[in-house]
Amino acid sequence: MNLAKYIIRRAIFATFVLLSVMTITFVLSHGLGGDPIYSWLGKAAGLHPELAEAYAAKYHLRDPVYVQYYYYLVGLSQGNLGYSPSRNFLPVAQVIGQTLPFTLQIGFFAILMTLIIGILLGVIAARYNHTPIDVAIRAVYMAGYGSPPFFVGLVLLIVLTFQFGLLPSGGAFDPNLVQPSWITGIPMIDSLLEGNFQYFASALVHVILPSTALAICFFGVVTRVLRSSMLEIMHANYIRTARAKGLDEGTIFFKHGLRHALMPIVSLSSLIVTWIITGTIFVENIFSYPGMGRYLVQALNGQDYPGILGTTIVYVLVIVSSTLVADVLYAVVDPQVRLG
Amino acid sequence: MSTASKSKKPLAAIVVIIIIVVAGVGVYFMTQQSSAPVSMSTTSSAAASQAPSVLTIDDVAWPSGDLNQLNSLLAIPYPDWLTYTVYQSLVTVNGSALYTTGDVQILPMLAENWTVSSDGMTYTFNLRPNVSFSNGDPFNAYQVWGQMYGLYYLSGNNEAWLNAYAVFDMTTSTFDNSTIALMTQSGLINPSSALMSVMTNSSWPIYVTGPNQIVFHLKSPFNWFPHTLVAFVGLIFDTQYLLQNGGFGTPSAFNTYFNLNPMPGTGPYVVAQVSNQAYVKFTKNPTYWGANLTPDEIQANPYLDPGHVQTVIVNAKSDDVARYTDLSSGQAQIAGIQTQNWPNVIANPDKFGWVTMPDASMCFVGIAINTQRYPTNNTDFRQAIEHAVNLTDISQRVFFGQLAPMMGPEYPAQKEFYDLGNLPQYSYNLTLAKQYLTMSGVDVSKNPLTFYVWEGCGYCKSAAEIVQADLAQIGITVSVQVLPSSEFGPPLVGGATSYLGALKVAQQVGHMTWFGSATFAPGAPTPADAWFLFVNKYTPANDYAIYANPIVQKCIDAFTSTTDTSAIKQLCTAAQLQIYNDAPYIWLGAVKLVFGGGSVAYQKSVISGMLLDPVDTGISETAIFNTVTFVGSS
Repeated sequence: MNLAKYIIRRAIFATFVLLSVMTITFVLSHGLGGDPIYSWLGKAAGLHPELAEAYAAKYHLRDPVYVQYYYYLVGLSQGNLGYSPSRNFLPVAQVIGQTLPFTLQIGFFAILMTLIIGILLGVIAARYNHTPIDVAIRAVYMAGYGSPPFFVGLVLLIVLTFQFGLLPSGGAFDPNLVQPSWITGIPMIDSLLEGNFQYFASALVHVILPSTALAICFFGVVTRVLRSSMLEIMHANYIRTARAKGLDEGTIFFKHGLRHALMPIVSLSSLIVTWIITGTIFVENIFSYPGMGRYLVQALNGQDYPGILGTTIVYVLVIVSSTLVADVLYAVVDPQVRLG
Repeated sequence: MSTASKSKKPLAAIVVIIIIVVAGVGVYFMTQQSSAPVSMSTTSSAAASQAPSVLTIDDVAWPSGDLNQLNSLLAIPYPDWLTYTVYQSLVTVNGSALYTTGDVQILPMLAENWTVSSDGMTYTFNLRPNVSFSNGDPFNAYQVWGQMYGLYYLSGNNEAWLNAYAVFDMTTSTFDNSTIALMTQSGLINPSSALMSVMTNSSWPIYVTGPNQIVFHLKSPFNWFPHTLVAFVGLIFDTQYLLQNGGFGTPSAFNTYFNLNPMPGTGPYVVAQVSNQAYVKFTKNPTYWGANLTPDEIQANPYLDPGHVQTVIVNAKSDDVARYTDLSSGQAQIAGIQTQNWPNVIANPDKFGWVTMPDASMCFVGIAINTQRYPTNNTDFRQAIEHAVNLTDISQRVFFGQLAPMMGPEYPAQKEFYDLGNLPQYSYNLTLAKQYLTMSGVDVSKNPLTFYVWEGCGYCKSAAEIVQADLAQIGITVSVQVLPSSEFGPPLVGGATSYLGALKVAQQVGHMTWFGSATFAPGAPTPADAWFLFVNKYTPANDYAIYANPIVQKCIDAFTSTTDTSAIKQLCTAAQLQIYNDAPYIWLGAVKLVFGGGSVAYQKSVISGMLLDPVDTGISETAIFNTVTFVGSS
């Protein structure tokens, strides 16, 4: 199978996954119970029954679920993700447009920190295999990996903000600063492009705690996989050959060992993206970060079907795309995969 | 390109990113250090004021309803950070009295004064001249008229559009899309003769008689009509601006442009910047009509205060630790602190101050007992429950001892109508409770009860568990069930719908239900409010006990059929006794801490005082920040 066919096959599979998740989410969210109009309008549903029925009719709430799903798909085919009751009926696409860039900011830095810390400690652990350093690293990553993001977030908040006052407790930037204009839609990039360094610095500092919380939870996976991979590779025949050729141990370790040992990290990267993106749901709520995770929780609390579905679609798209990219990258570097 | 340079590319990218990150963090801390003295600076002049240049407030939630004042129709935005800071109403209450003695005294705000006809049905408001909205549009009777009818239209022509009070006969008006089109075409600053002929039509319940006079004609007398204009729908926005920016919308689709682009108001502050779900930045309104009010005038009516700080930032921070951290570190001068961190606040009374409601307030917590479902439909059984619940214990263990005793349904602040007949709280008396239980004839072993509380309220669950333990002492088994907000309505909870609607689902509604989602406060501070909502056969919502009674109904109906207060009191005294005997609710008490288990706390070294909302946190639970005063300021 050539690479193009492989990519097409994976893309079709990804579309199927997306549709399946969407359908399951639609059915599950509509099975939450109660009358959503009371979540949407609160007490006003009782105060203004005519209004409640007007909303119910407009959003087909009194129709069977499959009819509602039909209307949703029709809207979706026209690029309309619906209107979000938990955000006062703003278009879901608009809310996602406002919140996704913030989630991407956290995601980017969390992934970066996860990889840097994970690889660094993985290399050290492999290099000092079965020494106290290796054991200490293992203890650290096991503790991180065993802790949920919201717990790590709270600990960081208490230690770094409350005890030492080093970092802001929440939000995405200092409200006293001028916000950047819309260029790419991602505030930190836009502020750099505009030369608004104060905003960039503020946004950067605000992103540290949530990103660090996520990185602490997930770097251990990278460390662990890299350590195992390094140890395995350092016993491979070609390493023995390199040693026989008289190469120094540093060159063998980093040039011949590390490069190949990083291969599993490529396939792991899609999982890391998945964990981190889903982890943002928790840390955004701890740190009042105005991203998509916070929106999803509000949508869930408010029985906001369009909001739940819209965010789920975006999450699935991000996860499926990262998996697809990882699969393709893996197929590029390892032909056995696409042939297999 | 060589292999070596290829392999160095990712490394170089990472190095660049690290340099940017380090530089960014460096810039942040350098600017923080240089700006820190500014944000908390104090002047050193003789008339020293400790007011910071920026007042930062952490609230517990972003306003549901965003900043769109059209949503006032839905009893949101809540919390409404724009109440009295951006939007003012024709009348207000005396905030000082409300937060000290708990008295509800109506004062003029955008209306200079008003008169009422001898039959109690026609209220004529004389509006302040020379008042303008923050964008320069004039405030006049036409704007008020346009807003009122526009909101009526958005309600789907619901007669009870005015904060749930059906006081107008709206059938005589024909306000519709064509009227809005006429308003849009004409404008409300200098209305056309065609629009004037509509606005001056006295057969409609609301009409103007000139640019500064508006008349409200009620369908029957209601002594407390001005009270209904204090908040929510009564807050006046620039309808002319609304018409120029897409209009009202439709009943099922309000104009969402105003969600994050609030309409101008007449208040002392304007919205300068909005970051959705994060914060709103306010600056002083340079054209505020009340900027030159004398100290005496402000003291007499503190909600008119022009404010003492140029910039105010209100953050929405959902995490209690984050808010407490901001407060204790000085990042925020005022913060809502809830149960989790409240012990830290009260342990440091030298450092923190906090808002305490008076004993006689309109904010309370309670439990409804389903009067329609077996076995709680048995009056003796309900009396058994009342006498088995230890209210003092709940106050001490859940509300930090800060519950003032209450005997509903009237709010304690409505002193003239509160606890008519001086009935005591139900005594905690297990012997008596067991006697009532025996009289009820209910086999408790076969009839466990369900008790629903809202998942967003931790102390509600704690209190429910104490009730569970209390009732276990007389053999009643209670299952406490925490419902998500999506299920805290019909069919499991009755109070979100009308009495008649709740009757239909009464057998599924919990035997006991926490009253509302946490604490309850009114939308309008009238003495009729509690009666209208909790025990009324025709209530639109909030009759969580699904309770009505003909004797009680006479009292309720009297509020809107006579101006004779004595006659109303007489009927309501009988009603009070009936309710006492029927025991549909456990009135746990009036909360003295704003959040029940916590309150609005502030840095004592900076803040000297503040007022909260005019309906005892029925509209917002944080400072009305123009009333915030600072240590050392005049």
